[in-house]
This record gives sequence, structure tokens and C-alpha cells, in this order.
Amino acid sequence: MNPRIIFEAPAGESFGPARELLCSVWPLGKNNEQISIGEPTFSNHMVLVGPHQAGDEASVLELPKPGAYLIEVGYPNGMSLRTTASIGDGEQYRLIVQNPGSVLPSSSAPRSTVGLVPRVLSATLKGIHLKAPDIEVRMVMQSHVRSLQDLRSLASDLRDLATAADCLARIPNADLSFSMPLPGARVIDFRESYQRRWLVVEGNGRHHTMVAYPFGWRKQGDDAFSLAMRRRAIKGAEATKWSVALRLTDPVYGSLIEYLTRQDVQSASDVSGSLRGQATMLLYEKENNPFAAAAAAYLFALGRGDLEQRREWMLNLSNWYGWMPDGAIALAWKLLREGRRGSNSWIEARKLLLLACQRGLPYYTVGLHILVEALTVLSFADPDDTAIRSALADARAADVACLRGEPFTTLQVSRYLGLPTQ
Amino acid sequence: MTTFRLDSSPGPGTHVCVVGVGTYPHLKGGEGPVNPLHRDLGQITSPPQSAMAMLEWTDKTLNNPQAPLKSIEVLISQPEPALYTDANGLSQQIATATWDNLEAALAAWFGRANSHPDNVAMFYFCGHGLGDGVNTHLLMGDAGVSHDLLRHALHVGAFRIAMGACVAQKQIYFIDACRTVDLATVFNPHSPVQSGLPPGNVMAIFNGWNPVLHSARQGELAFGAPGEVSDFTKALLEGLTRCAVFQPYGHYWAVSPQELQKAIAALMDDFSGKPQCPADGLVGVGFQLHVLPGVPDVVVHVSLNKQHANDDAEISYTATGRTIVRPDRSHPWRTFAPYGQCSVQATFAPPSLFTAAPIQTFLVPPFQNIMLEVQ
Repeated sequence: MNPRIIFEAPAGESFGPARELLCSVWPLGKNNEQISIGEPTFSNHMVLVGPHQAGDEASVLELPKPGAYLIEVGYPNGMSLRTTASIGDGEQYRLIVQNPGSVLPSSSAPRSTVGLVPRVLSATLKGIHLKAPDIEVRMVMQSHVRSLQDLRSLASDLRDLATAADCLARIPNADLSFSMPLPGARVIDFRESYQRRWLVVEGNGRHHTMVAYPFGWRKQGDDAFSLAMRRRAIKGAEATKWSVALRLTDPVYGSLIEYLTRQDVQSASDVSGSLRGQATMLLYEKENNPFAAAAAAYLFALGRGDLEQRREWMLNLSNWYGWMPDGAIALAWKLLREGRRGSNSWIEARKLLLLACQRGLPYYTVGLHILVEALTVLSFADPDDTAIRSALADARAADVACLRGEPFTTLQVSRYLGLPTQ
Repeated sequence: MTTFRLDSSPGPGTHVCVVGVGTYPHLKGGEGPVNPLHRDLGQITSPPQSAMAMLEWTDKTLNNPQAPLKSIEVLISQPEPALYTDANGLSQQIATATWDNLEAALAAWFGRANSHPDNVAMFYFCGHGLGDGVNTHLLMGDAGVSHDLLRHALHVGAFRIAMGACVAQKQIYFIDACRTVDLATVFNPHSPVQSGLPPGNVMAIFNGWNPVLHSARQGELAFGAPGEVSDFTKALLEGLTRCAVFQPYGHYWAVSPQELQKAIAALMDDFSGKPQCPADGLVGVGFQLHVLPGVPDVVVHVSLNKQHANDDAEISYTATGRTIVRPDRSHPWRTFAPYGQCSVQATFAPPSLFTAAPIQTFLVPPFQNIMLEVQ
């Protein structure tokens, strides 16, 4: 049997959901008693690392022959691990891939005390608690389309809409970190009757965070998302400030979105172009998952593919889901990249960007950044365009109050509401 | 406006703009009318030193045969006027880093960089910065003369987008400044941001390389000892001269933005687990900024898997026939080792019973972690 490298996550939950990491391996050889590096045996090869079934072939690289190798593993958040190993004939080298250092719960974190299935807690029940809970997580439905200009009142409404909201977790005495699974939900029709959902997290009744929640994203036989929260201290001023991280449990799209968040288009393309990536994409297409389609649209918009190959598909994505800004942003960015000032492409892109702002906060952080950049480009090209200037101010206000490293748009409400309005 | 090493010959070149601001007359401790909204931002001594070190490296060391050095635009604000004599013997007093001077310097730098698509445009800033949660505003020397602190501040994102109008396809920005956030007092999303370049120039989306390397994470401070080159600039210069390299064609070592980011991150690592040297726009394999004259070094972090064994350990590495011993008890031990074959070992003086097997490895720049397993 050829030697193999087996990639494993550390024991416990510290690694978070499984992720596709990109691994390169080079053989180390001897040349006149000096060690030298050969051509890569694997280059940006996907390996699946995280809590999944042991012995999964997705986590194993088979090497052509025994010897010394230089191994590099890249995480979706941009960090990398490099090591060397000498592997004998038939040997299996276990490489423990440490936690990539994101906002993740510690292994001792308590689980939700409410349970896996969201349930409604009535206002009466909430009223009998004299002290606000350490942390509360709610899922709030948005009744109608709210524009980016209207985000301020939406954020205020979400903060105050406790009685009508689904309470997912309410922890009176929480530890430093806390995580909860969010099961997938079946949505019959994403086009006509869909209403946006927000996850609203608050610490001790303060410091609200709202997360654009892709409600309806499903994963077969498993929870679709995990929501991880962490704070620096149990007492004092820091106790009410929770870091919030919504993670997709699907390793393929979870990784793809995290690479995209850093605008690492090459790695995201490597993930989507792999066999597992293609299979997952087909599955989501079959399910008509608009969120997965939007992620793919951003990847296409940031990449170097020809728009004509996907124009109709991107137009459909923008037209079919009138509540989702992301399709319009992705198409607008592609049009801006392909055209020049004054061209029809730029005129069409301008319309799409204003349409996206009408639809509200994008689901993806990368989309919000692209929106700001695109509006800035248009405002520099035509400084007298007041509609673009106004949209840019709205987008910038949201952008500066969002957590940059989070894949899904995560707005710090207090910070946002503290911004000047004019 | 102060220009050194101006070379108007045809063909691609590297055009550099260096800005260092230490004196802020309108901020805390300044000599001018002090803005009451100074937010405790005051006079700093590290940025002029850092900018001067960057200027000197650019002038005397930068070597890129694909794009030889063709101009250095420099502004430095410090208590006494800054003077510099370049490698060609030109001696000048350096203009101060006021907003008007910056606009003039950027216009000149932009014009030169705009002369050839294969030009490399390099921008370096060291001074006060304010974050807005996503982007950074760089405060020029006259910041605070207006009631709006950001009126005389360069917005990095807007500047980078405005530079999209430049034909130079290889651009890089080094931002050595704090990114602390105080949205309520300084940031108004409805106020226009300052790009430093004329509006209306943008004709198309920039499609080249234009990464930004920051000294600080979002919302955090950048550091430098008073009167010394800042931590980031020290790491930047180490990366440029020693280790931030790749082999673009297999037979020589060249510095690239990608490798610089990794090298600076390793050199600034405080071992807290937080990533260093955040960057924007690092895509693809990067491009050549500088060619090393010889063989590179590698930043190495050596640690023991049992930290309590550290006090008894003498850690060393052996490479190219020389053994280098850790000079103190720092753990992890950060050092430079030459590219290539290397063995790393730890010995424990009696009566310690610890042992650790040496590690034979091959070091490749810019960075490698090595952990010795203590029994």
C-alpha cells in the first residue's frame, strides 16, 4: 500500500463545522547531499477536515511513494499551516489540523437550554424574569421588503419586536461561549411568498446584533447552520458584548463562502470546481436554493468568466427573488467590470445597484462590500449623481457597522444606530 | 512636493510615494490652535523615522529589473525639517505632509505611474489613522485645522478605487497606522470621503493587482517605540530584504505581496492566536516587487510542546554548518535561519529528565513553525 496522509481535526468541538481545506504537497529529494524540492505532488487539493465520519476518503491523500514531503494546508480564513514529514512505505501519517482561530465555541460551552427546535416564548413568560438574560437569540420575520435606506427603522423594529419573535435560546447565566444548531427549514416557494428572517442576538437586553439569516437553506440529515457566540468576560462592561458567528455546516458551501468573504476567488473556484463542489452545486440547483445560487453568482462576478455564458441565469436570479439584493449586486458588478463609463453595461449596472438597495441589506458580507465599492466607483465616475451618492451613504453606514470577517451579513445594531443620519 | 531618483527614460519602472506624519499642529500637544475634538491623538515620533527608513530602503536597495526604480515622492512632517541625500547625491529638504502637499504629490506620482501598464506603483504611509469599521482614514499633518477631523484625511478605500484610473497594473499599499474606531465622533456616512485624486477620472473597474497591507487589525492600534522605526515597518523591511520571497521563474528569489503578508504576519506574531498583517485584495500569485541579491532567510518559530520544559532547554538550530543557540528563554523562539536543510534540537541540562528528538527539516521562505516534542 502506498503511504498516505490522513487529515484530522483535534478532538472536541473546537474546530467548528467541517471545512474543505486546500492542501499542497511537495516531495523533498536529495541532490548532491543537499535537500531540494520537487514538483508538487498535490497542488491546492481539497481535503475535508472536521467532525465527520472517521476514515472518510475525502480526508486522505495517497502519496506515490515513500519519502520526505513538505505539506501546506490553507484555511478558508487565510491562515495556513506548513510542516514536513517523512513517511515510510505503507505508513499512514496523521496530520492534526488545528482550529483556524475563528469565533468558535470552546469544547466546554453549554448547549442551548431551549433545545434544537425553535419555539415561541410568549411575552408574558418573558415578563416574569426580573433580570434580562445573559444572552437571548431570536428569529424575527420581516413582513415586507425594507430598503437599505429603511434599515435604520428596521434595526429599531427588530430590536423592539420581542413579543412577536421566535425565541430560539434564552440563557439566564451563560458561560463565556455558547453555540446552538439551527435546523434547516423547508420553504415551499422562494419566489412569491418568501419573507426574510433575521437572527437577533442580545446580551443582557443590550448590544443587539442582527444577522441576515438564509432561512430555508437545508442540509440533508443534519442541521443547516450553527450559531456560535462568545464574550470576553462574564462580569463587567464586556459581559454584554457577544461576538456572533453564523456558520453553514455544509463543508463545501461553508468553505466556498468563507473563501469568498476574503475575496479569495481562486480558492473558492477550486472548491466549487471539485467533484464534491459540483455535486453539491447540482443538489442546490435541484432544490432551487437561492442563497447557494447567490454565492455562486458572487463567485462568478468576482472571477474571470464571460458574462454572456451566465447572463440569463444571473438575470433570473435577480428577477425571480425580489426580496434578495445579492443577485442584482453580483450581476451589476459583472456588468461594471465588463463595461466602461457611459456604456450600456454601466447604465444597466447603475439600475441594478439602486434596485439592490431597494431590497435591503445583502445576505453576504462580500456582497455588501461589493455594493459599496460599486457605488463608490459610480460616484467617482459621476460626482453629480445624487441617487448614487445617497445609496452609497446608506450602504457605507451598513458596511461600517457590519463584522467584516463574517460570511453572512452581521450588523452591530448599536454601532449602526449611533451613526449620524445626515 | 519632494522628488528623488526621478528617471524619465521610457519603459516600465517602479514609482514610490512615501508619507510619514509625526507632527500634528492641531492635535493634542501641537503648536497650532488645537482642535478640541482631537480624541487624544497627539504628536508621535516613530512615523518620521519609519518613513525615512522606507525612503532609504527604496533609494538604496530596491532592485526590480522588471520595473527599475524611476521616482520617489516623499512627504515627512516632523518638528525639524527632514533632509535627505539620495544615492545620486541629490540633497533636498523634504516637504511636510499637509493635505495640499499630499494632493500635489499624489497627482505627480499618479501621472508617472500612469505612463506604462507594467509600472509598479508603491504607496507607503505611517502616521495617525482612524478606522471606520471597514476602511481607514489616514490623517495628514494639518488634520484638525477643520472642525471635521477627516477633512484632511485620506480614505484608503476611496484612494484605491480612484487609483483604478491609473494604467499601472501592479499597485501596492502599505498602511502603517492605527485603525481604532470612534464612529460617533468622526464618521458620517453622508460626508464625502477624500481620495486625494480628482473625481471623474474613473472610467473602468481596475483589473490588476492592488493589495493593501495593514499594520493593525480592524479597530486596533499600531505600535512603534518612540523615536524608533515602527514594528510594522521593521517587519516590512525585514521581509523586503530577507525572507518575503518566491521563485517566479525558478532561478532567483523575488519579493511578492503575498509572501510579504506572510512574512510580516510571522515577524509581528505576538503568539496570542490573533492573525497579524491583515490584507485586502491579495489575489493570485502576486507580482515581483524586488529581487534579492542572494539566498533568502526563513522566519522560524521554534517551540516546545511542553512549555514547562522551556526553562531547562537549550534550543538551537544547525544549518549550513553553523549552530545558532537561542540567546535567551523566549518561547516560542523567533529567529531567522537560512533557506534549505536545517536541524532543530533542544538539550536539557541535568538534573532535568526531559529529552526531545531533533527535527530534520527543509526551510522554505518566508516562514515555518517547528515544534519539538518533549518526552
